[in-house]
Amino acid sequence: MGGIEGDWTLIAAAVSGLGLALVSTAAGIRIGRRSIRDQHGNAESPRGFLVPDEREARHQMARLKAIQAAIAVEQERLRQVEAATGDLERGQYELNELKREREHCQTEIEAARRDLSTHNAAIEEADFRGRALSNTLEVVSSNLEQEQQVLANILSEIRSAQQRHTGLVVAIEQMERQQTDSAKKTTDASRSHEHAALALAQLTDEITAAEARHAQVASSTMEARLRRDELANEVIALYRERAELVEQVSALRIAAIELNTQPSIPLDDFTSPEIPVHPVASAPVPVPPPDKLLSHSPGQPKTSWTALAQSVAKPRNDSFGSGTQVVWRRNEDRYRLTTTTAGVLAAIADGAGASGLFCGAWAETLVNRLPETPITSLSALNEWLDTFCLDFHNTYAKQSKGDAQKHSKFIREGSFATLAACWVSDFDSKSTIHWLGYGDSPLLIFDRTNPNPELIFSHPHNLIAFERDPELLNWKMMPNQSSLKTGIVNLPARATVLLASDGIGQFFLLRYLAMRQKIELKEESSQTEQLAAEFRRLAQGGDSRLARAAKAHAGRATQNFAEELSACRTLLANEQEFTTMVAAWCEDGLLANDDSSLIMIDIEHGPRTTTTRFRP
Amino acid sequence: MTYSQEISRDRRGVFLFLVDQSRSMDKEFGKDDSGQAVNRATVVANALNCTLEELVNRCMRDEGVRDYFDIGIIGYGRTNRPEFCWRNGLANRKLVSISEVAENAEIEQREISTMVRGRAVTEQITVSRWIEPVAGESTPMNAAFRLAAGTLEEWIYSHPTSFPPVVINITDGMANDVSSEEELLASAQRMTALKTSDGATLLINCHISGGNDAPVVFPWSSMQLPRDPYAKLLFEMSSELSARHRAIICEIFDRDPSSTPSIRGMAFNADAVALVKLLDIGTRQAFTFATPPESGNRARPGNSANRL
Repeated sequence: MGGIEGDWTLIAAAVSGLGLALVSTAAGIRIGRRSIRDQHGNAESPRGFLVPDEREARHQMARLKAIQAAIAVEQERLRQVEAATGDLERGQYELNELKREREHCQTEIEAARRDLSTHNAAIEEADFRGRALSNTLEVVSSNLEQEQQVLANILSEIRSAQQRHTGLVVAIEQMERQQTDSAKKTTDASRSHEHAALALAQLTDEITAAEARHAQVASSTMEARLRRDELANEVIALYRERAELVEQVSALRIAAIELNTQPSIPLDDFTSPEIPVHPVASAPVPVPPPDKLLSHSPGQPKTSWTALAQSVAKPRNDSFGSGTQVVWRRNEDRYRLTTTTAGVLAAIADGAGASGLFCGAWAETLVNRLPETPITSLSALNEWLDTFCLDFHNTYAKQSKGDAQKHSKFIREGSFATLAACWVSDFDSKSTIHWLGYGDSPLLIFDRTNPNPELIFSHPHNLIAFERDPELLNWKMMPNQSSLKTGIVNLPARATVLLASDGIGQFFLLRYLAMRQKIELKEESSQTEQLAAEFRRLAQGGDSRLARAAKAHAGRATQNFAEELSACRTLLANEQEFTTMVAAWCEDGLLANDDSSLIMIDIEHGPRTTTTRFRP
Repeated sequence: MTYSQEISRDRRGVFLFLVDQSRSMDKEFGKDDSGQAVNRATVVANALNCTLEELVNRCMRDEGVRDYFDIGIIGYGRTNRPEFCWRNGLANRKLVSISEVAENAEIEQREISTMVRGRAVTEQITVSRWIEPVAGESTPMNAAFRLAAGTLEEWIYSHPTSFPPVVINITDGMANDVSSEEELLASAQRMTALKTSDGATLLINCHISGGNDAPVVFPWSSMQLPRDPYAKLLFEMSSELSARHRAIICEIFDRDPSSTPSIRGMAFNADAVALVKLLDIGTRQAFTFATPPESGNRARPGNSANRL
């Protein structure tokens, strides 16, 4: 502050001198004397100096103004310094206050530390007392457990003694009853002995008579057995003869196709080769002899049809342990192929053995009971089911009575099967098909007018239906309108109808759609276009079972579906070949491991083309 | 580790049921058909007998019962040690093939009303039973887990490529043979760490209470559970279920699969209905009906069940 004050004094002095000079100049004084003071305020001896002229005076005036401005600035700074000094003093005061407060707190902390030491000592003492109490408690608990154990032993002995007492009382009562009974029995026995002696005499007479009758019956039985053996040999010979005939017929048919001539084979009725799992009581429809080939050349020379069928159990079949034996699961598909007054009736029922019981027998009943005229509505289906459902229930409920669990399952769940049927009729050289579908057993119709067959109808109408739970007919339940599909299809001049169980039907549909990816076909139906689009989507992506099958078929597509149908005809003519090929397809991932049933009907209104064998 | 192995006779599955038989199982748990009060032990025994009967039915064909499964039932609480509670011909056995289970059922005649082509018909059928209700002493659940783990370890050694074991634990309280929750959790995790090539053992816990609290069935988050430490513990112990189970649960409970990232196999405060649903879904590999056969035509097994 001293430095600032000193500067300020100098400046003040300078300003004062300049002011006087200027005043003198304004009065017109050119020369004068003036005493000035030094920086300490002491008077200085006067000395002479040159008085400036007017211009110099103006210059000095300007300097004066500058110096006045500097003085104002310095005054402002001085005020700030004074304010800062005031703040500093207040801060110093507060600091002192805080110091006093800290000293007070330190005093309190020391007091708290003294209290803490006192409390710790108290806690240690309490802990010590607690440990002592725990030890005492353990000793008391141990004593209590021992006493409880003793008490439990005593109670146990009391119960045991009570039981022995009760047992002895019961035994004494029983002995008393036995004594009474024995006395009564002795009396009864003497009476019985007398009756038995009489009965023995009568029985002796009867035995003598029975022995005589037995000798007669034994003689008759021997004769009957001999006759039965003879008949059995004849039946076996007939079966062999028929098998040979079937082979010959197949060979003739193939030869006929290859020679582009129409076969001339006698009409017959055929059905599933499976013997019914259990006989159906009072079944009005006789089970026709097993066979697989049916052909027809009616009066009109331009129309003929040929039908073939096979049914085999799934290649990797299930087995059951029954005692020491292994029992194989039976094929639960059933089919029927028969002539009607109007044409031909073909049907397949796929028993769903994973639920319900006797599904094979139910499938057999469904196909065997089908009427010759088409079922076209829900009411007709219901009326038809009413004619045999109760019989089926009664028969198999009775049959399963011996096995309580099986009986309960049958009663609770019933029997399940799909049904697909078609009635081919021939009027005025035009064939039509009435069809019925309940479930996912497929019906496919191909137009063979062109060299490469074209799919003109498919039930189900999309591939995804094969992945859904199918609708099933059950003798317990009423069928649904939404599940029943029926319709009529007018057949082209040359057509092939495939009726199948779901696995193998899906196989042929995928074979066709895979072929269709390879070549462009003209004038296909919108339904086929949709199927083809669905196939493309499945083959390109997805990890479902169906998508994997579509990919497998797309990878082994051919360009000639006619060859595939031709190969199918050959296979259907021979059960062994069909079985082998189904297993091979299944092994290759092209066909699901499922019972496989297939009916193929070729309808011709014109000249045939030559067919060749094919194996995909 | 996909839980996708198909069940066949060569690659059979196993169901192991753990049943609480402690004293508290004697508490009332609803009414029976005649309006009589029934205790928890009775309801659990009935539900379990029905489940076993359904498993037998699903394996039954015209030709016999196929051995698709092995079954075990461990009861804990009748005494202070858990034990397999087969009786009669199966006494002292552990895991038993389903055909043997069928052969050793105790049969009871019963009259039921069933629909035949739209008409109600009265039929005599039989009901099979294997276990009886027991309400004994303590709850040695931890020991039951250890017994189950030992049994399943042996089974997995014989069936390394099968669908993994499914353990369903039905209880009404906390284990009292452990000193901490962590101990019980560790035992459960030791069991669920056992694996076949198709996945780890699935543990499904069903806590029954019969109180007024709403049951929580198959939660996907612990936030769905009540503020109860035991509920949280059960959630931690229970397995995350397979995609196959998740799809079924979403379908049955009408849940959106896209907003259900995972599902734990558990129920808390379950009533009798929730218990039956849990048993149904827990054993769904064997069940072929999406709905009971009497309720509609769509009663055929799904594709996977068709291959049984």
